[in-house]
Amino acid sequence: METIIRRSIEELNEILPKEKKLIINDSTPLIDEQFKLESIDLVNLFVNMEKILKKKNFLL
Amino acid sequence: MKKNKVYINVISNFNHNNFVGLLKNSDNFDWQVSDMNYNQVFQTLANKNAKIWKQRANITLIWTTPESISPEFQKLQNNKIINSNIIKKDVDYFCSSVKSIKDYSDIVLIPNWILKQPSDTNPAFAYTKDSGLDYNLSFMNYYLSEQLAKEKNYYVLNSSKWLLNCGLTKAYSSKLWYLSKTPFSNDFFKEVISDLSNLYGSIKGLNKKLLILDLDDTLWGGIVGDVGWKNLRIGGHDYLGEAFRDFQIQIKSLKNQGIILALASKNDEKIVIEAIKNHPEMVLSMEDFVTYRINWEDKAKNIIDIVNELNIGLQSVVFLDDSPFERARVQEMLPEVLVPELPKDPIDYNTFLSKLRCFDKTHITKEDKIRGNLYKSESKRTKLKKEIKSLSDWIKTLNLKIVIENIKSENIPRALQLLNKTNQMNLTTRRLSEKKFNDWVKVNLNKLWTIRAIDKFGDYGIIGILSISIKDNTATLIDFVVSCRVVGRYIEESMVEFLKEFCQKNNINKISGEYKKTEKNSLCYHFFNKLKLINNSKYFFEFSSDMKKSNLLNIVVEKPNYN
Repeated sequence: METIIRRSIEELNEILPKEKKLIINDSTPLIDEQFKLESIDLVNLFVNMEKILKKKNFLL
Repeated sequence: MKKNKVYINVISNFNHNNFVGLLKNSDNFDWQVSDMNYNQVFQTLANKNAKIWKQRANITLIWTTPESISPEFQKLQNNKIINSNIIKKDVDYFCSSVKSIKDYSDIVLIPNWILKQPSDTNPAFAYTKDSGLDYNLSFMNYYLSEQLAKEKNYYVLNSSKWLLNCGLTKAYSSKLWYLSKTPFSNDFFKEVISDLSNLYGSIKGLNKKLLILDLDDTLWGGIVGDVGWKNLRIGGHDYLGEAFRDFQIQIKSLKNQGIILALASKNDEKIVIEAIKNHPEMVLSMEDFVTYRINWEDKAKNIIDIVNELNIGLQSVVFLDDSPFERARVQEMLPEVLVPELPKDPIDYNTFLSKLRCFDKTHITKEDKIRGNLYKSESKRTKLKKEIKSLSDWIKTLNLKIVIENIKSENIPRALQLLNKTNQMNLTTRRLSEKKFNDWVKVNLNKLWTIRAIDKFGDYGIIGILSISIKDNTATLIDFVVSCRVVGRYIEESMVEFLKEFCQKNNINKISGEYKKTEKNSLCYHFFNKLKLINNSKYFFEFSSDMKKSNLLNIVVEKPNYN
């Protein structure tokens, strides 16, 4: 699961500007007070995750 | 390297947030993007006071889907009968809107229309005039290109090509469409960005001008110095020969578009010219190459010589070579030169070259067609002050290891092949049958070793043989053979050092030999001449086994027992 999240964030970072790119480690917040992601970014993140999960046949 | 700034306006009827993000993060240019909220296409084009028009842009990209500019087209998607004349009027209106911004942008790019979501149409009706989706989409695109054909600096881009390159399933994202009105995937957007960058580069004259080519296993199959020109694989009833011939045809078409061709090949010049002139299936002739460096020198150095001669910048050069060794050397020494990874299988060379967009031009002029000749007759000399790492320093980075072994039964086939097929780095060009070889090796005072080479690019296998015949206190060098795939990496020097060491350990004082000149082994002459053992008037040599040691850099040599 960690690999999937990591890869999803890597794909998201491809479209984010330098100052908004997420650092990939366990303590990076996705949704909190320091929340930098806009709604479109969150949409992209979850669509990426779903795409990867589908590829790995984790979703029916 | 500092990237050129490019000011681009993006106007579309769909959410282009992802596209803009990828564009800004892409490598080739520093993209400065102005855009409007999506689905404001006609409003933006009509309102010249809009913020987007305040500064003249380098590029304006107007990207729409067909139903957004033509309500009549949209009826088709609901399976209604339509009037194609109305579609024509819708495209007319769109074209007049895009033409109205010509003074606000250097160039205007309009991707032609594809559906925003994949749709399989009933094949029976796909190409009927009043109800066929595919017919009317094709018509819209054809009519769009006709209407804009005469507009200077307007370019209609081929969206279907992006779909094809990406693959239909990977190009679309239904989820992203319904959640965020982004119809296409990031993979699709990357195809678009690649084309955008190349097109802008070609418009600004930033694209590549000079293609420098290797020969053996790049333009033809085989090593000409070994097999002779008659046995090269070009054309004929040979699948690989055909692939090489088609590759040459494509390269020739680049030349016809104004790309300059040059050769950089480690070979004997006379043998190469003979091959190019005489092989009946050769597509490229010597006249196609503006200049060439056919010698045994370092290719990076040869490339610098070529650009100096032609007065062309290194950033305009593309270098194609089948050898990962040569590519890595040039890539490291001359980072401005584009060195694409040629596919391992020559069957794929053609497809590979057709996908290289770095030579693209927007116009081909009469001068382009004769550009090669212009360079040939007007070459200037400008010294390029460039320090590159010496070849020996670079070889030290290869982690080269040489394994020298006594001949053993499993190595005999390869040793025989080397002996009988190697022409260029071959001291005596002795040829033996298997029986005579085995008989010779069995004689106690005859010694034969195989040489294997391994470096960071891989294991080259057995690439050389060394043999001597001992009489009294002298070892006569009989075979000194190295495959030309690996010549020039201090393997030859390592073989000589090993021989000296072996003789010293076995109380053999002298090593003698004779260079037997042939039409093809001048490379061997150059090596022994470099060691000051032979010259033009003296082919016989003799030296002491404790002769001064050569510098073997950091090459690791694994040796057998000396008994």
